[in-house]
Amino acid sequence: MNEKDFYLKIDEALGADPGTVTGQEKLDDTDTFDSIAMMEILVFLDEDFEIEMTPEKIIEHGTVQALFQKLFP
Amino acid sequence: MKKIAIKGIEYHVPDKTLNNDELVAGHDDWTSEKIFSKTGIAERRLAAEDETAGDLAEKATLKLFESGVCKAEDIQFILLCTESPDYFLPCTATLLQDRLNIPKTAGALDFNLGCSGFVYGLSLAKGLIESGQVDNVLLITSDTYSKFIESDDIGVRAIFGDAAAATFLEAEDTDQELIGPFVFGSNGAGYDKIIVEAGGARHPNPDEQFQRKLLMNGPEVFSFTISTVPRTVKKLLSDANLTLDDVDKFIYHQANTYMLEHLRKKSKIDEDKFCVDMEDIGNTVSATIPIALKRALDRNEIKSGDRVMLVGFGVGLSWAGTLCTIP
Repeated sequence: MNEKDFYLKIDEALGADPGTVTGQEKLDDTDTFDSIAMMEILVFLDEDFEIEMTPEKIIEHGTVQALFQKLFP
Repeated sequence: MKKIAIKGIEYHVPDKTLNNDELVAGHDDWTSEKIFSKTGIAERRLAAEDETAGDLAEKATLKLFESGVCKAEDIQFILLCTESPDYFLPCTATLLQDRLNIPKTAGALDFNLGCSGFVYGLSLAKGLIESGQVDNVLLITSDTYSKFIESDDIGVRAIFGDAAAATFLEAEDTDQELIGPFVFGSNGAGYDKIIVEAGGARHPNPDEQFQRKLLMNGPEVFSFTISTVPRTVKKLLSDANLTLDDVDKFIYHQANTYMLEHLRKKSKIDEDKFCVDMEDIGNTVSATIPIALKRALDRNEIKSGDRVMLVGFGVGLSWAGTLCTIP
């Protein structure tokens, strides 16, 4: 997965317009980030990439870009 | 040989309803459509202020007696799974013995589990019956989680409903294993993912820090579920030397549609074999599995001889799975 597509998936989970996420955002600082958005991210990672991650680990990475780089080095 | 079999199930839900429009009224950040799309729940039932898990359990069991599957005087053991007992002590199961006119020679105990409770109850009942200690068990699962949920906690209120289910289990003379094998699991490190912190001995009196309300970390519970349940299913099939094709119906704890759909896809289970049935009553904790099983039987989606997989998971964290052949 490329970085742009990953951000589009995060847009979708956050219920934001496509192209909103730039990578510099911290998920838990984002207005539309809630428990449902986190569950959508968990599902997307699990269904598309068989990556099982805890919510704590997802937040721990800081920015969306840092999360992408960790998951897809 | 004596083998345990499910002989009948009945359930009871309280009269009071709460639909999604009523739930979101006054909360502009929620819509009833969003709640339905994420939970698959349109309405839930709530116990009245003076209605307890014991009351719901009594009504479900009376329905079981009325169905003719068993009589009060037949019952040899009462197992009640609840996390909202009528009293701190004594256990609610002994009160039910008296209220239901069950003989004083019957054993009775409560056990404290949530969404995995029905499967654990089947295991306990199997032990009691197949070891020859009793000929039958009345297994009741009853909870009133709504009493623990703050009125403005829309996310949690959207999920849970109150209900009780009563299941009659009896010894049958057969060589065929009708319930089992079992897979169990517990992870106490996740004790605080679904919790009511105050009211027990650790924090007896509610204060600002520890309150007597249900706290649920939805994403953490979701994460636990998607990693644990598929492994439980795999182990159960392996222990039973079966494949997915050998199972006629899968009845998981009816947590919410979103979670169930993901679990179904992850384990590659056909949609028509997978039960999703909570739209009109919500997630009724330990009662979801017997209620879904009863309704599937009533709709003839499950027939005699079918093999059904039951999987419960949730508060504890706790999980369990078993296979059950309908006699």
